[in-house]
Amino acid sequence: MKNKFLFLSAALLLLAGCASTQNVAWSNVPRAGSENALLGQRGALIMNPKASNVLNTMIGELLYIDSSGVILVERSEGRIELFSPRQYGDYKLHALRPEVTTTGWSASTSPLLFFPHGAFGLVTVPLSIVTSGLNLYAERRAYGMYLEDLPLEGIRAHCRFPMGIPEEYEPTVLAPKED
Amino acid sequence: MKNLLLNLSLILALTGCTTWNHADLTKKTHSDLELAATERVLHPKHEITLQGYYADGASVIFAPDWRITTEGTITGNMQRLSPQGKPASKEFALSELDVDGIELWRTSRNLKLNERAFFGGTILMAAVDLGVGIICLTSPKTCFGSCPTFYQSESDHLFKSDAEGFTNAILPTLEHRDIDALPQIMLPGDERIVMKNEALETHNINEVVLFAVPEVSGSEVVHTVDDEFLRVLQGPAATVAKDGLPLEEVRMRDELEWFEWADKKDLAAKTHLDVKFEARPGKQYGVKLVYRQTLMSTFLFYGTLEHMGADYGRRMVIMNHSDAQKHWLLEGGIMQYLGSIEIQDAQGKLLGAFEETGPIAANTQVLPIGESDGHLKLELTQGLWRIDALEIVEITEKVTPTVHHIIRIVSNQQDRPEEVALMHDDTRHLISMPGDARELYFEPLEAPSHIFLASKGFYLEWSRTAWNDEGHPRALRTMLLQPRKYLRDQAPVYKAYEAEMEAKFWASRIQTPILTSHEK
Repeated sequence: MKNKFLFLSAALLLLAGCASTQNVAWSNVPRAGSENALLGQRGALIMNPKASNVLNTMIGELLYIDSSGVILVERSEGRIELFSPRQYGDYKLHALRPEVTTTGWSASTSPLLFFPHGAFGLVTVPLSIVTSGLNLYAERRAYGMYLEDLPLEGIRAHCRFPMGIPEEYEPTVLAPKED
Repeated sequence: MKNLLLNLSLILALTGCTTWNHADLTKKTHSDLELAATERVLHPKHEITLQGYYADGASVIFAPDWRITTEGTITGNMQRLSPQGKPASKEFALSELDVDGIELWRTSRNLKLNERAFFGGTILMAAVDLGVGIICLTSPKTCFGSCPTFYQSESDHLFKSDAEGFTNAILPTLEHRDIDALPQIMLPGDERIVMKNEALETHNINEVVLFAVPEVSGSEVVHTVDDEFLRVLQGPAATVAKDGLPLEEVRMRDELEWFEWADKKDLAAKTHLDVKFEARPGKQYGVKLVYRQTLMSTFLFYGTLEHMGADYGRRMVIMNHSDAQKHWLLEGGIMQYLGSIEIQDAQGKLLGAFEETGPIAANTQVLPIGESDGHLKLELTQGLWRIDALEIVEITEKVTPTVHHIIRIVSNQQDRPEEVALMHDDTRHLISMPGDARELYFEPLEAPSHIFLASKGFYLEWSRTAWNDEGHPRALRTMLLQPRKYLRDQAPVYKAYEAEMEAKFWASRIQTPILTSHEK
């Protein structure tokens, strides 16, 4: 019984991992210190730290900024949206993410700790959830810079297309994950 | 229980290793290749990749081993990318690239280990300051030079110049006359001063004149903090002490200066010195001080400009027309907390202050204190001032100097009568550019004289390549709105290279070329 349950859980996790390969995702943001931070072509992620849903603060990937300061952002569902400086004043730009964190999804695996920890799971599972939550919180905030504090050229440097979005660009054309 | 402790430790470890603070931009765009190359100067220990974009969005990206050849091409391991960012090949290949057609450059810098895990964004910002600090250390004149420097002798040592002209006049509307005592008695026939521009500044000089008072044996003529001239006699010997310990360095003018390291937590922290001397009733005394500032003033001044970044020019124009901002620059803001060297009597009553700025030339000034009980206190900002000598003088009379105008200017071994005419016209300015040196000859003296050099004008600081970026708006905002906090925040940054800068201060010699992008 125990082995079957573990196998099923592992399979579900793997499938869940495959299903979450979005074109716009935290996993696209290079880890600080990685080679991808130097060579990656992804734009920075734009976040709204004041979003009502604290679990979904992501606006999208920064594609381009024009000379008037309007930014073009690719949303997670694939469409490209424009934001004026007035709209994105409170938004943050994330060009990097921490190199050492456990990601948020690990919270969902915490119940599995009951198997290795037995009765101690009553303590370790909640603690694991708290740990994962803290790391998720940390990852979503580390290296963040308010767009209003950045000059136009500084934002431009973090666009995926600093020269402008190519006409033939389709939001899903790039591989979803480069890290 | 064991697991509980383990998990608690895990939480602490993970949260402790997380960078929560504001980071700096690691990617920058540049309009030309040379500007992109300065990123390496700013961050000499970082890996920096270079990407050049063509008009259609296609690009080439170089691994960190790229270099610019003397022919203006780039060599290094390179990969071509489509306008959509897809690589044309899997691997990078060693190539040489002609930069024709590239319209935009982008550099990407990686974060070093200590910038990532343990120090976070605040220290990252400090690292940028340090990067500029390294440039200052490599080329001291780029940062330390300021205002016209004047030499009475042939010495060309920047830090041994005899006078600095119109310090603080960094805007046209801040033009003012500055008087500095020259250290040597000038003899008739030797009425010559060398004026140099040793910084990345445009000097606009309206007037340079000499004030002369004939020498009388046994006496000295001094310049007061209120721009008067007094004949004085040597007064009683003074003992200067800090925390009860006498300071031998300030006993006489010998270029052996006393100074303190800045406070590690607060750049505005004050320090106190006690002065004692045998005072006699009925005598009019003065405190003669030979002093200059440390490099803290340079650090804070250039830090301000660096915070402005590419916005420097616009902000300076605004400041030029705003009395409130000029007040902030000279007397408000952080200046109100840094202050001057205040002289107090034994009861703590303020008698006056020495406030000449600049770290290059030593200033010799006198503060008349009248009759005294022989007990004085000095209050000054720790780590901001260098004192070569503190002496007590006895004031005998007020004197009026004769004025000696320029009669001849020689530069590049040629007479410049047109420049002499400029110096005689109160409505016009002589423009002096970086690297310029002029010999100024003055109307003759009648006798060996004490000399004071008066210069009037203003200078415009050149924007450095290193400032041609986003600056630090938040730091600038803190500086403007919370100057006290700013001085505390900057303390660890300044401390990080204070000792090295001081060492460099004493070792530096002028190099002739000034290498910046402005000189292309």
